[in-house]
Amino acid sequence: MAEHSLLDPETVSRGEALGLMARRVVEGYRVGEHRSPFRGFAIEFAQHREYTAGDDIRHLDWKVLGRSDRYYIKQYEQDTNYVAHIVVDGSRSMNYGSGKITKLHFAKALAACLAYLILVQRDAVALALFDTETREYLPRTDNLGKIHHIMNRLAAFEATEGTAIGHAVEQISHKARNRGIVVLISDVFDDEDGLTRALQRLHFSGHEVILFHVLDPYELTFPFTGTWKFLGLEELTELQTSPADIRRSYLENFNAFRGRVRTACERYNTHYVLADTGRSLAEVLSGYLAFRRMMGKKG
Amino acid sequence: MGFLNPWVLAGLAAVSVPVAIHLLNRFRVRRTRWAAMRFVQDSLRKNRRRLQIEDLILLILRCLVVVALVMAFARPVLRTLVPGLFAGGDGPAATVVLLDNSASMGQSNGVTSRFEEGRKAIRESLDQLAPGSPLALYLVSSRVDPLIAKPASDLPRFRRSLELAALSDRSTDLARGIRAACDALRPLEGQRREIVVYTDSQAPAWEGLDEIRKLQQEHPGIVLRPVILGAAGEDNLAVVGLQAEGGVPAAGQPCRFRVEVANFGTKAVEGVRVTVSADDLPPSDETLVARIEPGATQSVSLFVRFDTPGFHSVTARIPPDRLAVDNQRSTALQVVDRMEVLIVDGSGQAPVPDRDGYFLANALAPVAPDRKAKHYLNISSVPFAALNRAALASYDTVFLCNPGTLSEQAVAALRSYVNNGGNLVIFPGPQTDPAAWGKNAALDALLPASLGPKRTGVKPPVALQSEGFHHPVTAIWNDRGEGGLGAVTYSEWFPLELKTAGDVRPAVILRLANNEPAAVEWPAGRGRVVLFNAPARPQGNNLVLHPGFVALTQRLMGYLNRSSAARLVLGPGDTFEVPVAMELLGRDFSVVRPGDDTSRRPAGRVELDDQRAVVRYRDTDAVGAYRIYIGREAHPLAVFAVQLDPAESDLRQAPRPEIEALAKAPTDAPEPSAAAPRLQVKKEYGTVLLWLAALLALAEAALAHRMSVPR
Repeated sequence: MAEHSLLDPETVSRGEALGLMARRVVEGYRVGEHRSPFRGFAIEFAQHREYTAGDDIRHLDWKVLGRSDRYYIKQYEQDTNYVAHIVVDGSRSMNYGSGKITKLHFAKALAACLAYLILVQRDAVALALFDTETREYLPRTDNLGKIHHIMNRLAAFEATEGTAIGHAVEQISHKARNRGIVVLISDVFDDEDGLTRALQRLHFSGHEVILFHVLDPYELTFPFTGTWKFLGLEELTELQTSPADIRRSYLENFNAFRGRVRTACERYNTHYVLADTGRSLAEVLSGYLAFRRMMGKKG
Repeated sequence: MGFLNPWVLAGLAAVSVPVAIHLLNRFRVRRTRWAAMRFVQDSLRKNRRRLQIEDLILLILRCLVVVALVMAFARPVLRTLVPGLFAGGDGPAATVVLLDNSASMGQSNGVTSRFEEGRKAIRESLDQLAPGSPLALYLVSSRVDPLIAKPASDLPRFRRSLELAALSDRSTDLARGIRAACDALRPLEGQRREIVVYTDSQAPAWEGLDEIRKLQQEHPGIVLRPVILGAAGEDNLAVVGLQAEGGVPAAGQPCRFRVEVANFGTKAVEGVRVTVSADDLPPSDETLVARIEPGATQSVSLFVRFDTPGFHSVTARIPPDRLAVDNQRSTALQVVDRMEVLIVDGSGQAPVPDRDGYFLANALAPVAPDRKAKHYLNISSVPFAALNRAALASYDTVFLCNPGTLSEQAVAALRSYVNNGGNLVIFPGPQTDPAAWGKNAALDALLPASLGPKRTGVKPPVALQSEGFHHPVTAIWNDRGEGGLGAVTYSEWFPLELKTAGDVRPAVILRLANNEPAAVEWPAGRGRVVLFNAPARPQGNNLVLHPGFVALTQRLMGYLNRSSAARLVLGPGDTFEVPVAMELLGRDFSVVRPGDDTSRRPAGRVELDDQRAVVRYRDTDAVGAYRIYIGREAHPLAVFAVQLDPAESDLRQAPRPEIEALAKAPTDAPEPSAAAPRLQVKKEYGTVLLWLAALLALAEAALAHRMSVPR
């Protein structure tokens, strides 16, 4: 897969206009556009505190000193950047695609576009690719020039193993100690307890979590007619059936599964975004970013 | 049980088609790699058993559809053992097929008529016919219609002729048909010869059984095989009589009709609605016959009023049953505006009340003098001297009262008058000389009885009969409620000695209590002659003084009028003939037949016959009313009716063993193998199976549709 095919111009242009702003306070490592939990010396006044030895006297409030002969230091709100961990599911189940592109390809493109958008607004990105383990990890970078490196790694990755979201996210959470944004891109075809544990861990670590649930339109509608033999991508099972006979039952099962995933997301304050690979990436991503922007204004 | 097309059963192999498709569908599998396996797995686990059952049901249904279709086209039948019909294995036999096409063959079992059954049976027998067998086909009713007169080996023609065969409304005489068949087979002596009779075996059809046996003896080489169609006669209710009663039917006057309904069934029938209607208009009168016992006939009187004089038809109807043709009966009559009556009086210039025709004239027109001009009987009186000069043809009835010795010219005029349809009524009187009458051969030939020497002064006087009337004119007095003539006494009369002329016998209208005839009548030429035994005066009898005399003369006029009208009622196949005005000679006439709408079909031309213009119409096979029209005239020139023989309504069969014994009659013909019992189709199941296949296909489609809905 060529690295340049991952960056969709339309997605990027629509995404640039919307941007990906942190909804919660993030712990960045330099001044940025996002609210930091730390107080600093910037533009917006926050509060006074008594002078202690060692403080820079440039921040003394001379007017207060003149009126009351007491030493107070002026403190200001500090804005910072954030680190977004883009975590891409690279298990074999992501290799399914009823159309031209597979779920994995869609996930890689989504990750690349997100990385680019984040780097463009001078925030930092860390990339993780996992299946049963974390297979690839690119440490954080805020250098836009690194985008090619990120895309190269994404493009080079091949799905060969099963899924263990819980375990993989646990490994990643060790590396993402500061509060930031975690973007999880997966079909979540794993045991749902693993997902729940992962979301719980990230939530309690103070991360803002977004789950892009990547699903193929055939998985969503099960439109097969005639007799089909289904060969498992992760399991070694084979099933032969007439899908029309079991369509209703399948859809009930599948929608129940999606319902459970959403419930888990809601419980741990995670944004659930259905990434239907039948729709264009631009549509999916810009739709979500627009929603996010609107939420930000309300908040 | 068997199959008419057993080779079609090979198609049962097609049962493998749904199975093959089913298996093919199983093997024609597309493959895909799939991520969401656990959801498919779960769904399969939940639905596997149901899917298997549904698949199996669908497969079975599809197989059953194929089986039902194949079986339907193989035409399974239930066969019964019946005596062999056409010659079979022993080579060809000359066969005359007689198909009864009498009216009774129209009886239906609710689906098909006996006639159709017969046609079907013949068709099926043709399949077993030995190759090269010459066949002839006759339709038999009261006449024999040879569709193929001589046996010929032309099966397509036979089949065509069979299809063209039509039911008639005639009665049956099978002996006539068998005689014709024997005549057709006679030249083929030396060959195997057979006559096969397809009939409903109605009892009257075999009335000539003795003649048939005689024919069998005369033609020992001919085998006769009756094929009896239908199990037993159906119950049948029929209108067996319809005739006008009472006086002369006149315009604007109610006319009474006697309708006879017979129950030929084995169960009593209750609540039979009988209606009469004139000229195919809605019913003008109706009644309900409470109950008719099996085998009994009930008469009811119904009234019809005719607005205009001329020819009319009247139809009586009862509710429909299995034999439709006898559920209605039509008659025709001529409604008069006025009837011309001539009284020839022998009393010369006597005062009016003393004239011989005085009482008669008053009885004929019993109305006040100022209303006589409007009475439907226009009575004229002339003396005997004027009899030669009177234009008798312009009168409907001529009464001779106290005639003396009649001149040759007078007798010739009377004979001509009667022969051309006139009615002559004679009341002998004191001037009548029985001896001179006896010597006048021309007059004697006209009279239904010879006059004996007059009896006078009989004491005590002899009364008229008071019961046991048989003639339609006097039958009304069999009902005591209508009064009687027992009070009429005779002390002087001319004994009447009845005559016979060939098959014609006089009918006694009235008798004296000593059983001597008091009034007799008979047909002469196209007219009728009535002879009383005493004068129409209170002279030696008191008949004219009795109130019943008015009724007697009125009923006599009605009877004479109807006798003329009787020519308007024919049997099927009779020729209708009516004289018409000479100016119509050579003109075309058209007819509206029973069952036709108002469309007229060309029927012939007015012919000249014996110096008269006559309309003749011969195509009278169908029962009902016929209307004859000249040109575009709105009113018919004549109306006549064709009536069914009441015997055709009796559907009871002749004793079966007796009829079947005909086939076993000793003949010197070699017994053909076909005489051995053979299987005959009793019931066919093809249609039932087709319906079953359709139902199964429908069920399959519904189930398949239901199963195609996502689950």
